Amino acid sequence: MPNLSRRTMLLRAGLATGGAGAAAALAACPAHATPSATNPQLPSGPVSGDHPIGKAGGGNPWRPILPFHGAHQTAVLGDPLPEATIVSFDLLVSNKAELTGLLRTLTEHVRALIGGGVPTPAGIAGTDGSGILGPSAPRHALEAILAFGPGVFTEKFGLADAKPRRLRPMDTFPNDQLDPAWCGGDLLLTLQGYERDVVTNALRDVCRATRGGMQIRWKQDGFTSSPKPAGHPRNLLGFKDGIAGPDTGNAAQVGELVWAGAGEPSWAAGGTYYVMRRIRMLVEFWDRVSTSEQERMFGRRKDSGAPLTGGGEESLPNYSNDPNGNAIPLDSHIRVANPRTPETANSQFLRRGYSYDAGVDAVGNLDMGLMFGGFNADLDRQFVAVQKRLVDEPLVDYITPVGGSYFFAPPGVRDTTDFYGSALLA
Amino acid sequence: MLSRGSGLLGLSAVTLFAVTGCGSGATPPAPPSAAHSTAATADAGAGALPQVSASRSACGTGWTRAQAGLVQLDVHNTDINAAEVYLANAAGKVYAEVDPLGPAASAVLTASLPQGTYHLICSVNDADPVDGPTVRVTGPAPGGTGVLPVTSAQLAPIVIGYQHWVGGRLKVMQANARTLNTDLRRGDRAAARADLVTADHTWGTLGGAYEAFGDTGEAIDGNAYPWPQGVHDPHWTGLLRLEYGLWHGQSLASLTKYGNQLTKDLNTLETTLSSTEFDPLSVVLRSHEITEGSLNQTLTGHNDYGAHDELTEVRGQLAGSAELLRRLKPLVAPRYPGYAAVVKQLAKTRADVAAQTSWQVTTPDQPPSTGHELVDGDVAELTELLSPIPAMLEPRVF
Repeated sequence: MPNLSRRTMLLRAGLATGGAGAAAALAACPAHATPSATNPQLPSGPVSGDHPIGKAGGGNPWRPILPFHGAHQTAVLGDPLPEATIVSFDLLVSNKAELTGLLRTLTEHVRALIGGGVPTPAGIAGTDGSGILGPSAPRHALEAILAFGPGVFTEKFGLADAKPRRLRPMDTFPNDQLDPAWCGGDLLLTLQGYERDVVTNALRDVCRATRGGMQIRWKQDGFTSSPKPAGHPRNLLGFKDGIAGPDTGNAAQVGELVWAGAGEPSWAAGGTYYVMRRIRMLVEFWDRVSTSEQERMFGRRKDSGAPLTGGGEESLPNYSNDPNGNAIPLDSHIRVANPRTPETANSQFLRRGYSYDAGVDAVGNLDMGLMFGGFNADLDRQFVAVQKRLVDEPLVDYITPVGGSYFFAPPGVRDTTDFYGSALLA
Repeated sequence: MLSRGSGLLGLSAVTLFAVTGCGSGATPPAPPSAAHSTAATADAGAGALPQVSASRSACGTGWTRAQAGLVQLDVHNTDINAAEVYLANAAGKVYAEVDPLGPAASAVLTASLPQGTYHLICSVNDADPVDGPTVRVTGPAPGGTGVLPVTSAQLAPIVIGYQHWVGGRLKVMQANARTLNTDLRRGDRAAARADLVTADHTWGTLGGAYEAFGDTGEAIDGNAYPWPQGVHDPHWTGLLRLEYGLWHGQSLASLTKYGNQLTKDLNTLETTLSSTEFDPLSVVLRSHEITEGSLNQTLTGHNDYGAHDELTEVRGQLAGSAELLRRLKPLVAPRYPGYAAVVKQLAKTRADVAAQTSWQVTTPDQPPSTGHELVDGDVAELTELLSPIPAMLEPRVF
């Protein structure tokens, strides 16, 4: 696709001028409920001497672990934890019964992994688990999010009529350079925790339990750094990321923007569309760009995260006082992504991405970037609409989506007898 | 070169019955750390564990009671020799082991026990095993699975029969090599290629993964990775060297020396097999190692030098695994609740391999093909299901 060059010689037609006075429709950085001091979800065992578990909110990756059981996959709502692995699987099961068995097994293992403790020893009746967490695994130091790709909703499983209405193979957007090896998948499993070994152990255990039922198609490890020096963590372009978005403490917003329901098959109520995109950042190029130019592309200060109209990280961008984009350019990322108009308020979605760092390309540049994760009540009204607005934004010269897929995260595992997708497979 | 221990004993004079299974060549399981987290369940915090002696004179002293479920004992070898320590029930089923436990060493023995009566067994080297006092375990927790251990003597007839079968397969392999040599000398590349694929299949049935046949096996089927000059290294020989030449335009006349060397190496293996007995432990390990090789060497394409005959090799390897499983069945089936699942998965895998109409070698910039993923997943599942067999059948001294 014809990427616009870094410095487009033609002036661009004026983008939609920021709707006057509409900026305050949604809070940029909500306060979260403070967990009780006796929260049973606090992990036990070593997690890190340097990072005590703090309060949730504000992007703090060292937040309490959310409960596994519930009406929703509540891990969706939590800010990204320090470590993650994002794994796309292709299904090998051939019918509904086998799919059900696979999802039961998956659920049981995820539940046990979150529970931690001493793994049941195999004795001489088999071989033990990875052992990388020592004799007793940390308790409640892991979260999981499972989601279904379009391949689940086929005649093979008798589920063709149960497909969430927006679910489909990922659209190719004009600035994408998609690599087939990084696209697609029938199941997406995001495992996240405080420490890499907890995540790695979980993946090894899950894979071992499901070998004949699914195969890894692609996998990317991700991470979230601690805030530098405070506020939201930074992405690999050096900017604070994830500042704006739905208030996860506001049930009405979460209900409108995260959990699917209206128009969906009944089983899907309480689930969410999970967009995962592997976005390469051309960091060498980026580092050769002045901070001022970078800030104009984003619309925020690099050091503080404040919008260019002033204030702090949590201040709202003041578009009403800046109709011509003299402070926050009209084509800047934050202004296009979220113009803060009444018309665009319901296109916001919950961003939950992880930085990745994955080696070197053919010319010796680093392959690193963002595993962009987004949760949507309505895929088209939200992610797709925003992505279309962002086509050819100035930032596209420095970021290249190279893979990903659309998934649908089913409602939560309700209790110790429930399993992922039970309502779908009932 | 991968080496988990040759399947052949080094000395032909050693008889099967003199082989002690325990700790003789297999990688010993690492004992759990004595320092363990206070987060352990069943109040198994450090310092709370029963301190238990393991020796000929004081086997099991210090262990008097336990609740069903997770049981952990801090076992201390008070003998002057190394020992193996087992936790068994009244029927002799073993629920946990520490193997080996050196003199004066300690280790945590971890078991999951249903209610019943149990005792420790202290098998100190060069001495008859000693049973400790009986301990009654009570409580509702379901506990894990005990397995009746197997001795070298029980394995011996199976190992002898399997070795005989392998000898028969080697004769087929020698015939395959003769045909290949004939076609190389005749200058018929198409026929020679077909002969090579046939030989690959035959060799797969012998179960030669992980240096089961030592250096001779590597000379017969080793890949080029160990050699400094890779595929151009003059020391590289065997089936894969021939494959490389046959699929890379090398003259058949230049390959005849490799064909002759193959014949020589097969004859050497025949001599070794006729004068050396398989180590029972190695044969037991092979029950999952053959398909480990299918996954890690064959299906990955590491051993593909142009023939793209991965599926043919895997068919041979599956046949070899099936034969070994069939022979081990009398010992496996009564011990392994998953035995029927193994048989089923083996059949599924062979059927799915046979059903592949084309084979796409996976390249870095493409996702694996559907057929590749299916076969990979089948073999991986099969290998997973086979993996308890060595743990159960490892010969133990009682």
